[in-house]
Amino acid sequence: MVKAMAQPNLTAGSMYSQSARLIFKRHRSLIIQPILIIALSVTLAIVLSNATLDVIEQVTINPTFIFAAIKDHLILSFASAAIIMAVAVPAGIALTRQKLKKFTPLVLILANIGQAFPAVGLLILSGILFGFGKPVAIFTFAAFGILPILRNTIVGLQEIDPFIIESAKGMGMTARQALRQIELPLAVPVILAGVRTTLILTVGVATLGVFVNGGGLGTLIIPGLKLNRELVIVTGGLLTVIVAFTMDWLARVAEELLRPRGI
Amino acid sequence: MQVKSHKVVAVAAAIALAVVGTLATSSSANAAGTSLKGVKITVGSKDFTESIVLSKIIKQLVIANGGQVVDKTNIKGSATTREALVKGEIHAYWEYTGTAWLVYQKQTDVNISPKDMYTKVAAGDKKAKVKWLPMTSFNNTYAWAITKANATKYGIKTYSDLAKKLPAGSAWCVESEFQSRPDGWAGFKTKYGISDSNIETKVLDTGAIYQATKDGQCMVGEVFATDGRIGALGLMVPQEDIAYFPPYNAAITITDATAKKYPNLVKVLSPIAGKISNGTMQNLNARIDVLGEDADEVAKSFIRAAGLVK
Repeated sequence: MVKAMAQPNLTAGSMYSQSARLIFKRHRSLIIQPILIIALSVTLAIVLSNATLDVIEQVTINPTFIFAAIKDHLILSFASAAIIMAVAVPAGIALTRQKLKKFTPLVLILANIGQAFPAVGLLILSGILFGFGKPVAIFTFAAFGILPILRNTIVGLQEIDPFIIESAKGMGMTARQALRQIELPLAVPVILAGVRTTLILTVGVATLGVFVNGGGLGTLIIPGLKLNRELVIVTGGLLTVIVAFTMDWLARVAEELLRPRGI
Repeated sequence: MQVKSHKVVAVAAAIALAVVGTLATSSSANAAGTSLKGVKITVGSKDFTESIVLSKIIKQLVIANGGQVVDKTNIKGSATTREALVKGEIHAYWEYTGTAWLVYQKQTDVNISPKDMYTKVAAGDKKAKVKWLPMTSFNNTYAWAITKANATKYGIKTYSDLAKKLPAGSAWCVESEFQSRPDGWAGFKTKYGISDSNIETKVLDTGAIYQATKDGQCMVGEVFATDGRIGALGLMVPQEDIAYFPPYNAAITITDATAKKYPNLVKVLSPIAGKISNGTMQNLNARIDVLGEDADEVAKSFIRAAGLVK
């Protein structure tokens, strides 16, 4: 009614095309992103297959080595992101419940400490204590990335208008029903933004896996740096970007699908 | 006319330099403490203890002789440090003959004596306008370490023993740079007939390998021969019975421009190399890595103990 008054001459047709445009606008970056990712990958592949490599570059710039590194990198980042989500989302929900609210500051401080640790130091220390390999890398990366998603979950739930929850209860919903049917759906966008941040973060941090026998794209970047082979560094860096972009895209698609209608 | 006056200025400058140079030389002969007055250089190093402490020795010696030093030690990676020198961002750092030979001059033949390699490397670096001061007797080559307990248990005396006598599936820990070098992991496996199916390769951070070898996470660890932690952690380095690793003697590399500008600097720095044997180097490294002493302090006490300053 308000809208109609503001734009009294709006016809049904132009209204339709406007909303179509809005949908395209909203999804444009979702369509452009995979095209960019593919273009970047193809360009990299073409450049690498035509490059003349010296003996040092040949060790790392070959399909077997690169695909193994990508595979390890995906394992490291997905596994640590999964642990983060499995821990941080339930913890975030629990910490916004009436009974546990008082612990929120304490837990946030702990999560902050986890993130403030120097990553390489924490990694090597954990490796010496618990054994070098992928598991140690994954758990350390997880400890490192819990904060953003925990905070997003808490903030997402806290930002819901208390009147909405009140009225849900007024309609006879139990606290659990209100959480499941009202609070969580409303908090989904904020929580998912946290998931995206976490995924990108873990893809970046996973390059440190090379220090603890975790593999990953760091196996290109670190020796590339130490032996001054720019092609190797750039390849490792670009592949990390490609993996991060792909993860980001998947998370955004998930966000579109999971976001409750009308928000 | 214009040209002529430039020439006059140049000649005058040259004379002035020569005079100053003579003055400086004569003073260095008499009084330690001022011979490098007016010298201002930037010293770099690679990112590991030995390289850092060696460069701190340059720094402390220059300071003790009245010069000034900008400390840019701890640069990430060999090649980055070398590039900084060639570009003149740093003026001196310690390089290893083997690294220069294989990585910068891209040579592949490693079956030469330390002395021959030094001569060839120094000659080859003239193109890059880099001067090599005398080399050390210590040879910080790549080495394999194993705990003394395991060496006794499996009867390990040589690298061939490592390749043949260890149980199947033993973990060999290497650093990522070593994995990518032509004189590194792949070449070693070929030379000693080690097959990937018989062992496990773990890629770790350099510093973590010593502890991980001691803890048993690595059966064999790739280490540097002069590292102080070898002795401190009860590790031993078996004999290299088939020559594989090239010599890695250290020498100060200095830009030609700096050497020309400060001839006295070369005179002051040249004797350092003769004072550092394998044992001395292990000891200096251990003081920092094991005892936790400050690299600058270690360097200061070394130049005194070695008689480089009075």
